[in-house]
Amino acid sequence: MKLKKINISNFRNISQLEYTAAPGLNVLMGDNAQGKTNILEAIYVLANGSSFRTNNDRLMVQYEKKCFHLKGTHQTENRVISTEVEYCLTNGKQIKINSKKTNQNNQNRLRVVVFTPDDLYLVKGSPSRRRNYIDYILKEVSNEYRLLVDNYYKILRKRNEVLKKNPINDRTYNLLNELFIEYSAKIITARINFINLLDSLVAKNFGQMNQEGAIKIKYALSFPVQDGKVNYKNLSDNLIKYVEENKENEVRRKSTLVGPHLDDINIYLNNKPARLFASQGQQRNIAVSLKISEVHAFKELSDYYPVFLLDEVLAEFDDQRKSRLIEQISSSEYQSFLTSVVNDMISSFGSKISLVRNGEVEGNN
Amino acid sequence: MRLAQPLQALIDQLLKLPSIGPKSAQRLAMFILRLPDEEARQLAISIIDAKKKVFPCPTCGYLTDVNPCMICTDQRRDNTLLCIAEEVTDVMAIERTGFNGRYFVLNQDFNLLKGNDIDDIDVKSLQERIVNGGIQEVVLALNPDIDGEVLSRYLASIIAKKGVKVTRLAHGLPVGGDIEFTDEITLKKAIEGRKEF
Ligand SMILES: [Zn+2]
Repeated sequence: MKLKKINISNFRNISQLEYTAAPGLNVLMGDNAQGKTNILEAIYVLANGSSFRTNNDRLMVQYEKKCFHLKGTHQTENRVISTEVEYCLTNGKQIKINSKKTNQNNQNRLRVVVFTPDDLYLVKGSPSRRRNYIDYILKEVSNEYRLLVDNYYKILRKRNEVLKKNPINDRTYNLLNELFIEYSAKIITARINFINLLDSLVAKNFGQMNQEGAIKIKYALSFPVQDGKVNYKNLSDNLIKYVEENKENEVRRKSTLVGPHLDDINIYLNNKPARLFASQGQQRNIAVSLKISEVHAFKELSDYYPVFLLDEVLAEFDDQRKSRLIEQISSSEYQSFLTSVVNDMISSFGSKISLVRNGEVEGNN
Repeated sequence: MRLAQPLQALIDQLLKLPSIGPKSAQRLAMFILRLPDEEARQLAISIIDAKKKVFPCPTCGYLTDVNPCMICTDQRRDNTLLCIAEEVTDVMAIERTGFNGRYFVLNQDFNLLKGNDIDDIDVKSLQERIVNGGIQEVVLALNPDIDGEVLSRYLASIIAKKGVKVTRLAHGLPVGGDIEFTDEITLKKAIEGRKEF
């Protein structure tokens, strides 16, 4: 999947901009606060209807303007699809795909994977960061998974509400708990299958990017599984048992203390937990490998590549790593957009380079 | 600016209606004022009349002005098939699909986030209906959300204890969706493809 063109108006510091994208690497270069990231954000909003930088759509409307408007066309294997996203302060958001009104989960929409400077903390940061990382792509490739997770969180809120009652109503608890177990086991099964795929991709990718070190990722459950077999049946049997044994504790704490919302992904470098033993530089390399692997996993699961957006990923790397990373993404099959402050490394890789200044793009055609 | 008192009173009443904001209330009030006297009177009478004469059918819970309601007295319907719905508006939607059985409308709020328990649901009249009614199959047509799912499982276990077959609407209904707002074709397919619970 490739973005062909995007028109941006009244979005952040961009009054009016048309960008025609190259099929490979697109570099958006410029000083800070000129609007490079705003262009990436606009592509992301075009794809997902909302931003990776804010939950408040109002913030994306240009100062003293009423609406922002994004329009783009992307090419899939056999179709050209046009998308429009408009947000107005007064009457909210409207998404159109091929001129028809739709919602942000439309199957034909543009698909992107974004790397933000925040993702450099993927290894060391909180477990929710890692859960979001795998949930994002699983939701992207499967609407069924999206529904599973959305419903799981609804069940969780209701379950916590039931646990707050004193005394709790056992019949209500049991009925809801049945659902809780089913959804938990389904989500965990899907995540573990995905982690197995991801593990092999990350190992390969990390090897290409770095000379030394072997990487391994494992799904970490919030409850023990007896004979180690991870399938739906065994997971739900063990979860039932664990929940039974810990019911008193949950009632006392008035909260759900187990489940996929508390699971984690453990990352190992040379068989040691990376969040404790990897240097900051190594952690950043692992994070980049995880993100690139996400793009490849997407392709494995859905048969096409998403568009890869990389925001300020180069800033923290030394020259050698920079050039390896750029070499890798510029020679890949997928399309990518990369923001950067500096020019020196990139010009030699035959990519489209544009200078972003004051919300405008120079050298664009 | 002060409005004439009777006009302000009308606007205030209209404002109490769901999804009516101040602007809509004003527009509706102006519309009513421009109506011919007779039509305005009809509107007022209809409100009072409906309020006075319409009540839930004691047998099935559907809204009616006769007891039992038209659906309950309809001789052409299949007495062995009972559809359980949450609300009257769900029955209206299911009726449009040509469903030919009988109904039982729960007419009870069930929201776990608002602190409801499963024991808040009064199932006595439902149990009596099933025991006395010669019913062979119960179709659960509750909304496909989490509360509806919990309630469905609960009702299924109660009905199954009476030895009656329980089915539910087939999937194809959007999860998190609302029966009332589901189009007829999807809903018809969901009824036809109902599965044993
Ligand atoms: Zn009736």
